[in-house]
Amino acid sequence: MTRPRPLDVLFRGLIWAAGIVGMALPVWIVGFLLVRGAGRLTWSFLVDHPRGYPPGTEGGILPAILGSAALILVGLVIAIPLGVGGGLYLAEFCPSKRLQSYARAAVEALAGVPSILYGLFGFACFVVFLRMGISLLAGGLVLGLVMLPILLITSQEAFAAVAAQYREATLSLGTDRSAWIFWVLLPKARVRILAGLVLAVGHAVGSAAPVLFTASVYFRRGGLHLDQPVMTLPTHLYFLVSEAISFDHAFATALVLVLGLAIFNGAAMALRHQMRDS
Amino acid sequence: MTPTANTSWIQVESLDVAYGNAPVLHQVSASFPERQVTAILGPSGCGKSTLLRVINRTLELTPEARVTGGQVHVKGRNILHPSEDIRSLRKQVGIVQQRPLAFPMSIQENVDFGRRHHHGRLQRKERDRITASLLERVGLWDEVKHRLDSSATRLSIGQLQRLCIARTLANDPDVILMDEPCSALDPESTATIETLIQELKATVTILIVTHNIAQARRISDQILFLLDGTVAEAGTNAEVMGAARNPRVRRFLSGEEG
Amino acid sequence: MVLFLLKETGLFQGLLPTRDLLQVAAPWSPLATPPSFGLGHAWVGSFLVTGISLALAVPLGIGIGIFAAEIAPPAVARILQPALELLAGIPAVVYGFFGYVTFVKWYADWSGQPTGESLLAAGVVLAIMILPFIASTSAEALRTVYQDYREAALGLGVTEGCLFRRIVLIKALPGLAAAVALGLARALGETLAVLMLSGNTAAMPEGPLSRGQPLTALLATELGETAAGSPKYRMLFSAACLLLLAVLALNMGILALKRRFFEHLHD
Repeated sequence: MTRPRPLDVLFRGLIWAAGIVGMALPVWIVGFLLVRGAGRLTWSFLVDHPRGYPPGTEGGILPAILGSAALILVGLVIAIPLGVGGGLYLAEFCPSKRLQSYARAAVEALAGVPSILYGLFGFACFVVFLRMGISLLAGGLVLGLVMLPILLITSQEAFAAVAAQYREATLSLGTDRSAWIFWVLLPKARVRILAGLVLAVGHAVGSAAPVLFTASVYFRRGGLHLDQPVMTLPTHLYFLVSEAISFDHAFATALVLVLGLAIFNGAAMALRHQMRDS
Repeated sequence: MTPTANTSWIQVESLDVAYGNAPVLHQVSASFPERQVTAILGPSGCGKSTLLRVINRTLELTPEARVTGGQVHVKGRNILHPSEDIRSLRKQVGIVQQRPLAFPMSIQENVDFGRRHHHGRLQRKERDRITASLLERVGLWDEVKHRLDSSATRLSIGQLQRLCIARTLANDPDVILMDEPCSALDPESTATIETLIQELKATVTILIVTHNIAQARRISDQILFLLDGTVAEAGTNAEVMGAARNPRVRRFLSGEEG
Repeated sequence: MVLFLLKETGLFQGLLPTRDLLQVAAPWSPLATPPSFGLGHAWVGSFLVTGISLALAVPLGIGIGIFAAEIAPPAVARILQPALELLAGIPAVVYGFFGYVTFVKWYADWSGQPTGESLLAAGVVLAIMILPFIASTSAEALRTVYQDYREAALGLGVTEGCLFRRIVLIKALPGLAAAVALGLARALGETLAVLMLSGNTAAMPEGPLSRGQPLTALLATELGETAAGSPKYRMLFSAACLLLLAVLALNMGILALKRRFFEHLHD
């Protein structure tokens, strides 16, 4: 064997170091949160209301979990029809390749817009201009917009992938277009769209910036109403830290968020594997 | 079976190769005589390229591929031995791939890429002389002599394949392995390459994998025919083409099976 | 959406506060009389934080990209991939919190100050946040090039180092640039972590260790306390539009670079 040059060896060593750092970072962060937060994370923390004074020093985070879930549901009411429909349009009905590539570029650009700007837009448009106030509805709409581009891109890709495989075979049988869409395209693309949906929801659940001034308040009692503000998990964590209310509860809340999202993203990964196998 | 047994340059003995757990080559033995063209024929998936890539050990660039048994000797040296210097082996046994690839540099630098690595930088004059003679050998000189410093990516695919052969020749190899070098080329470029192969065999030993029976008939001295990872037929061009004993090989050669 | 943001700046009413936008040196003191809306400190803060995060994340991220694309044994690569996805999936607010109880706390303990927020802490945490994006984008670019050129180059008997320096790096350059631009766009628009770690102080930062208020933090802090349509409100939306333009321009750049990468790959 020729001996490798010392510079090559050094370079290899540095690259290995980078790779190890890349694997150690998430372990460190998640491990840190686990060690400090696991003690606090009990069943009652999940199902109890915040208590104590100021609220959040004791009790649990149930309203924040419910608030986040409600925001996502409202958002999905917007994002699913627009996202899947838009993806279907771009993949199947778009009259010109040119329009398709422009629309695609625009959607991709939209996906790259920082979430704080979605928040600003939501504040100006929904909260102020449409007089919705800081409310579940306004925040849900903003989260819908946050999820829309991700969902649109993944569903367009899903449709295109199915079309490449099945279009000729199906249409050559003499079936019409609606049969093609409802019996072949939608069922075949379902798993991929679902994976995209999970991705979009996971992204939206964790982002605080869009809901900070469109939907969320630090603390409130009472149920969920479309025209009322809500508590959310990420903003609850933010308030706990920035107002220095309870670091114990902050650790536990962060852990709930990270573990919840890890499970969610794990599901997305499992879906993708299933997709590859079938 | 083996025309020039122990004196031949490349000797493959009982070679076993597997991709993961799936065997690709099974007990392959063959020998390739010096300064002749040996065509390796067979249906797709029979292990032709795999055999070729064992001989200069580019096979191990495929992570799942493993040599599980057997020996390969080049000029009497066991090249599968762990102490073998892979880089000098690959210099001695060059390979030309199916899809010609331009490196992102000028035509001149493409030709000089491997040579410079093995022999070091040269005086500009000397380098230009060597480049010119290599490009002349592959019949590319007249087409590119005015644009040696422009990017190689603008060459046509036929020109590019000749550039790749020049790049391999620049290493001054004893053996050139060719993996379907003409399958991406038009008939005219194919004819040019075939002529080039005939000229090259005066100085180098050539192994060429092809699925084109007519091409094998035209250019080869020896033929090795693989079926399902084993040697089905081996001999001179005339022996195999005229009187193959294996019935599947006969069907394949007559075009009934492809 | 872009149009709506523009409307809120007062552009259409001829009220665009251009004069204030350009006044980089003026302080941010909306409560003074007359109020002053200099955004200089916020831009400087944003660039400092982004610069720090890129300086850390680009070499590390591209290093991880090379590792994932070429050097990592398959078993290690199978661990690295979900590890990076996990890192990318952690919400910004959790990063902010994590930075607050680690870097910020350490700095406070070390310097003896009551709190330890700084632009540096924000930059470091931001670097961790953009790392997975830079790493996976560059890994993808490098992997594609390696697949194409590995056999052709190594078949000539050159070293892996030579293959990397003279072919892979050159071919992957547009892809690597796209990775950096992606990291830049992410870092520039990131809000929560920066808000929680930079100290959120509306003064011109003196250096990486001082507190500051990057643009996104300013937006998040001030918007809730601003009357719609007021000069301050218009100012905030003007700043937001500039941020939007910057990010959109970066995204265009990324698209162009990616297109270039894939076009040049196969000629």
